[in-house]
Parts: sequence; C-alpha cells; structure tokens
Amino acid sequence: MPKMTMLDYRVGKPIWCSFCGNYGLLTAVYMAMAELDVDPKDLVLVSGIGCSSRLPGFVKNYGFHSVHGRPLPIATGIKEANPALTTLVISGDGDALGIGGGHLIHAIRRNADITCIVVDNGLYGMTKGQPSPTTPFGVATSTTPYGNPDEPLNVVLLAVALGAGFVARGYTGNIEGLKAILQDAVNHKGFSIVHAISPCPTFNVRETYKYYTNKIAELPYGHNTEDMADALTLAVDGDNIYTGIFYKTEGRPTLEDLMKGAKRAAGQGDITSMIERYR
Amino acid sequence: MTNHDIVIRMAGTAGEGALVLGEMLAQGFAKSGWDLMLSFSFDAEVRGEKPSYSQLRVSGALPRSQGEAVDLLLGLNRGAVESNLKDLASGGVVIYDGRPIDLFHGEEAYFPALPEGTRGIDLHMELISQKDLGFPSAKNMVALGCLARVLGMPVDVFKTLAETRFKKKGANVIYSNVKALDLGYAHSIGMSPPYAFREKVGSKLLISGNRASSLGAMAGGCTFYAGYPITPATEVMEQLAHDLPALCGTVIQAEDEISALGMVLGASYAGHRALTATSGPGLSLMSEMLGLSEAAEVPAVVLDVQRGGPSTGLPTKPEQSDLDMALYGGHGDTARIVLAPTSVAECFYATGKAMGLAQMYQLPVIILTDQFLAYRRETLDWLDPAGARYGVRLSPTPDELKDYMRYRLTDNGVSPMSVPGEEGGSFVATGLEHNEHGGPAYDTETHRAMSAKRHRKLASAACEKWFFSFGDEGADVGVLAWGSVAGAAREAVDMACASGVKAKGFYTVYLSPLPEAELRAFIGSVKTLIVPELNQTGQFARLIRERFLIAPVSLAVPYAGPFPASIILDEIRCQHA
Repeated sequence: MPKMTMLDYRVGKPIWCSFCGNYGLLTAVYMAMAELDVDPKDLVLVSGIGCSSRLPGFVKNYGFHSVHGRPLPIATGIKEANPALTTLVISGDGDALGIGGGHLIHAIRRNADITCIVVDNGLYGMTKGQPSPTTPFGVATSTTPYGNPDEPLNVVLLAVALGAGFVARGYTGNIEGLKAILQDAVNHKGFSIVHAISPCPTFNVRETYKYYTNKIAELPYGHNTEDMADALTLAVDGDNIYTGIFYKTEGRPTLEDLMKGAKRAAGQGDITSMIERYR
Repeated sequence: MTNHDIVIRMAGTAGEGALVLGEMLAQGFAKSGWDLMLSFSFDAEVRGEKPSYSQLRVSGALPRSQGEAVDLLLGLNRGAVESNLKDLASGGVVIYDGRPIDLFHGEEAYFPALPEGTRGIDLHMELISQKDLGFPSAKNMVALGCLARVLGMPVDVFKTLAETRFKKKGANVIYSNVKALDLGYAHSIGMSPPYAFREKVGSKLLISGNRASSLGAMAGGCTFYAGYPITPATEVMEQLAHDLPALCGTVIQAEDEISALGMVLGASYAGHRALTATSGPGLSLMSEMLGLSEAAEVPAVVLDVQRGGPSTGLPTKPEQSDLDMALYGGHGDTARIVLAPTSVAECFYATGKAMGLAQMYQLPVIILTDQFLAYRRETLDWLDPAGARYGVRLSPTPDELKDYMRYRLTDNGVSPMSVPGEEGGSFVATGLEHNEHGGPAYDTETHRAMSAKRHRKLASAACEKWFFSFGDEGADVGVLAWGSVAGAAREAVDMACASGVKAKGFYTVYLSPLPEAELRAFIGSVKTLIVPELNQTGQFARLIRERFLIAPVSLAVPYAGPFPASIILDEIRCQHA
C-alpha cells in the first residue's frame, strides 16, 4: 500500500465559521492519520452532536455521527466488535462533559483502545453561545444573563484523577503540536483522552486566539509523564494553560484484551449442548 | 384420586426456600417426563418477612396458564398457610407444620382452619430440620420429601437433584439435604398417597422464558450483548455473560441503558448481530437510541421484559404496559418491528428470529415479554437452533461500491449496508436527516423520500407473519390476546367450548407490523371481540380500535401477577348472555 497523504482523507466541505478552531483540528487529524499510515477503510470516527461533531463528515473513512453525548458507548461497541479498527471519538465540551459526562468517566475505567478528543470551545456554539461545562464562573450569556452560577470543569484534571492511561492537551492554534499529540494518543494502547482547545471566533468573546496566545505554554521541559502528582499540579496551574502529554502509563490491560481473555476462559461451546443443559 | 392436572403451591417468606422447593419439584417432574408450568410470586426485597410462593401445574399436556384453584398447598410457616387457604380447591390437601418452634411462645400446636372438604397433613418441618437434623435451612427439603410421597413419586429423583444442586457447598450440606428428603418422605410413609405421578419415558427440557430468550438469541447468531442489570431481565445477561464468549461473542456491562443500546448500535454498525435486554425503566432511557437506530438504519434488538409501571413500579410483577412505548416511544415518526412471544418456546424462536429481522430490515426490533413469561419454567421436548436462525443483512455489490450510496432509495426501502473495513464502502451513519449518500439534507423532498423509505421497510416486513387461531370457528365471540395473556385466553376459550359456550381466539406474535388481512378476517367473523390484557388503559385494544375502526371489549386489568383465565371465561360467558 502506498504511503498515505493528507489528501487521502479529505472529503466534503466543512460547514464551520471562518477561523473556527475546528479547521486546525481537522488538519491535525488528516496529518496524524497520514503519518500513522492508517488505511481510511479501517478508520472509524464517532462523534456526538455539536459543531465539532460534524468533523467525521469531512474525513474519508467510516463515520458515525450519533446523538448528543453518546459517541463513547457507540465507539466502545465498534471497537469491541472489531478491534482491528482505529477508533477515534470527536466530542465537544458539552457533548463529552455535559450530557455525556456519565459515559466519559466509565469509558476511562473501561480502558477500550479508543482515542477520545474533547474539543473545547468553552460554550455551546451550535445553539449560539450558552454556557457549557467549561465556561468560566460568572460569565453572562443568553441563558445566564446574571452570570454563570457553575464552576468550570477541568477535563485534564478529571482524566488524570480517574486513572486514564493517556491524558494530553493540544491547541488547534498549534496544528503541528496537536498532530504529534494525536499520533501519540492513537499509538497508546488503551483509552487515551486529548483535550483539544478550539477557539470559537463567533460566540466566544473571552477565550480568543489572542487570549490563548498569552496563556498557552508547553509543559515544562523534562516533565515526567509517569508522575501523577506532577500531572495533577500542572493541570491546575493558575498562570499557564499547558499543552502536551500530562500523564501516560502503559501496562493496564485493554477491554479488548479482557474480552479475548473471557473467550479463552469460556472455551469452545455449542448451542445444542447449551440447550441440553436444561434437560 | 388419579387426577393428572393439578396445581401445587409452595408458600413461605423470602429466604425460606419456597422458590428452590418449587424449582426442584419441577425438575423432578421434568426428569420423570411430565409436562408442567412453574411460576413464581415474590416481592422485590431479597429478605424480610415478604410472602413468596412457587406454583407448579402438572398435567398430561403442557399447561397454558399457571392455574388458579390450588389442589395441594404446602406452607413453610403458619402465615404462608393462612394467606393461601383462600385459593384452595375443594378437595384440596394442605401440608402444614403443626409444631412450629416458636422461641417466644414455647411450642404451640397449630391447626389451620381448613375449609370443608379439604384435608390437612401435619408435617413437623421445623422440628425435623432443627432438632433431628440440626440443619434449619433444610426445612424445605423435608417438605419436598413429603411432597414426593404425597405425589406418589420416588424420593430418589430428588436426592439426585439435591446432590447436583448442593455440590459446590460440600459433602455436609449434601448429606443434610438428602437426609432431610428421606425424613420428610418417611414421615408420610404410612398414608396412601392421594396422587400417583409415575415416571414416564423420556425426560423433558425445563426452561424459563428468560433462559429461552438467551438461547434463542445465540441460536439466532447474536455475537454481541451489552446491558445493564434490571429486574426481571438480568437473567438474560447472566446467561449470555457465561455462554456468549464460548461462541466467540462479547458481553459488556454498560454504565446505564443508554450506553448499553449505544454499544449495541456500535457493534451492529461494525457488522455484528447485537442484543440488549431490559425492562420498562431501561426502555424509557433507550428511546433516544431507538430513534438513532431508526434514523441511521442500524439494526438493533431490544428484549423488554415488562414489569409493573409507571416509574420503578412493581419490579417483580408482570404487566403489559410497555406496548405503547415499544411501538411509539421516542420523538419523531417511529418505524420498528415489535414481537410478543406467548410461551417459553416462542421466547426462544422469537428472539432468534428478531436477530435476523433486525438485519433484514435495518431497524430496531423490540421483543416484549413480561416477568411471568420470563421467570416461569415450562417443559419442552426440544428446541431447534436451526429454527431460530433467520435472515441476513443486505451487503453492497462490487458495482454498488463504485459510487456507494448507503441510503439508496429502493423499492422495499432496504439499502445495502457496508461494514467498516470494507474497501469503497465508507459512509457516515447519522441521526441527521440525510441524502442517499448519508450527507445531511434538510429539504422537503429529501425528508419526504427518506421518511417514506424508512416506513417502506416496515411495510415490507408485513410479509413476515406469525399468528395462531384457536377455538370453535363458528363462534360469535372472539378473544384477541397478546404476550403472556394469550395462554390464559386459549385456556379460557377451551374451557368455554368444553362447557358448550362457543368461543374462539387469535393471537399474533407480530404486534408491528400486524397481520392486517388475517386480523381483519378474524375480527369480521365475530360479533364481539374481547381484548384481555394486563394493564390499566387497554393499550392493545386501543391499537386494534384505531387500526380496524371497531369497538372491542377491552378487558384491561392490572394484576400484581399473571392474568387469570377465569376472568376471560367470565367475560366470554357474559358476552353470550
């Protein structure tokens, strides 16, 4: 098979606003898949609902644009049904942390070999700017005219604390960096989660490209990715929004391994003798 | 007495062993070649002073309902006797404990106030198990030994069963239970047994609706199951968790029912025959995924073991109140196949068939059973795995893959479906309205065409039929039943006919799509149509009224238990008068 290029994955015309961070993410996905040489027929992108969840429509592969908050269960079913597929989840901050928050924590526990990209624009873009689980406290929006009463959720902190085997943050303003992170995430054996900051130029007047240019910093040189305490400290840093791999640990069996183990333990059965047990 | 159609009820409080007792007695009958139905009544709590009983009906042929008047009542305690005396048949026999050990009041003799024409057998179950054996939990085995004697069955059958059942608990437990059986049997050795259930040739399968559904799913090619534990459906997952990996299948316990059906859709999209089982509260959560299955045309099978509702309702009691939700639950216009098996054997074949139907029509198939049907055991000669294997998914041809249209508009509405990993078959499955390629499209023309396509599939499925008619063809009174009530309806119609009151009946396993022509013919052939169902609002009667523009007599009654045949018989008689 000839080596894949970015163009092998391109299809359709994205529907996002000009300067949307999702363009950067899409490019990073193309680049990472080409670098990893993933055959498009063996690539499945599963998404929920929201601006970023339209991404599978612009990648030439198998896609499942599902319902709001539920891409993780669907991706789990796909991966367990056919472990040979490279399975990526594209889920917005509202999708993954709001309506789908219940699934995320269990996907981390379950450790299927899936890469979940939490695409964070800090608000609900498709419904025009209401607060999402990552919107800062106190912000006035159309549904919180007197200020957002909820504290924002830190997905990197959450994922490290829950024991995810691979936790990273990327920025769609740094496509090369994001691409490298995605490659590592896909290569990681087990559940990997990538927090992809993706500015919304249309509705987010706070966390703009300019804001991020000043806040975003690469994780300190020499950061030990196996040090969970260090990862947690860096995740809650008040001055910098760090990008890079916060935490990475191998060795935990994946769900696929365990399912294979169950099949081995169960041995070979046949339906007729299963029925005859009841005689 | 040599009556071979009898109802035996074994009653106690939760944890006392009344259910195990029923199960073992039923196994003994099945091994001896007798046909029977065993049903259970219990509350949702695992322990506590909650009444429970198992009820066994044995006869020359497979009983169609649980039976009502109790011929032989065994009470493991005083309260269990008292609360069940009202159901005793005339001429019935009661086995009770006349010398219960009561720590607070000393030893008191107890004589139940037996109705006239019935008789009692005083069996000192507590004294025997506690004093003679020093093993109080074998009380139910003392009772079983006595039952064997009363029923004229050899006690050895039960000793063998006890050895198998208590194998894992060690030699001591086996010894005590076997001894308990002997002591119970010996207690009544002097009397001439009122029944004589001699061993027949050939043992039978003894299996519950839930177990039959699980086996049917596997026979039907199920290779993926995801679920969330819920009474009364959990048994299905337990069986599949144990057996499916041995058939190279995968079972995952999800974090909730939304996720369970989500995983099923994912596995199905990736080419597997996938199933989830749940009960009402779970089906409520699944309505979102059912809509996705319909819109994205991803096959899925959901087994709903109905229980009393709404909300948490009655977790351990049957009801037929999820019909509306199965047919219509969810937003948007729904198009799904709904099956309702009426017996344990039908649970097997319907679940198997559902696995194939979902593939053939690329939509959700919901199977409706209920707690009564799911928990009850019936005897069967055999189950045929080949009879449960059905249908295949339509795959794209190499030509079709040149410009692949996942949602191509076809005559019967079914479009070829590719599988991830297939060269040239890439597409995005989506819950958004879409064009033939799967791209989002919101115009009137596309929406109309795609809506019509989805419903055309259901119309195509109308060629699948599975119905049964019974009774006197010339009758003016007809009974139209569904699910577990169909058995009671058949029995009521038979009883009516036997007593000279003409009646007939009809049931269809397909509730969607309905067998329109056959149903119309049946409805047209009677003056009165009775629709019995186990719910408050007559959901099936409403469906029939709407579909056929007639006014059936809705006999909708919620019970915290199975529907009694006598109520249907009364209604048949009433309609004749």
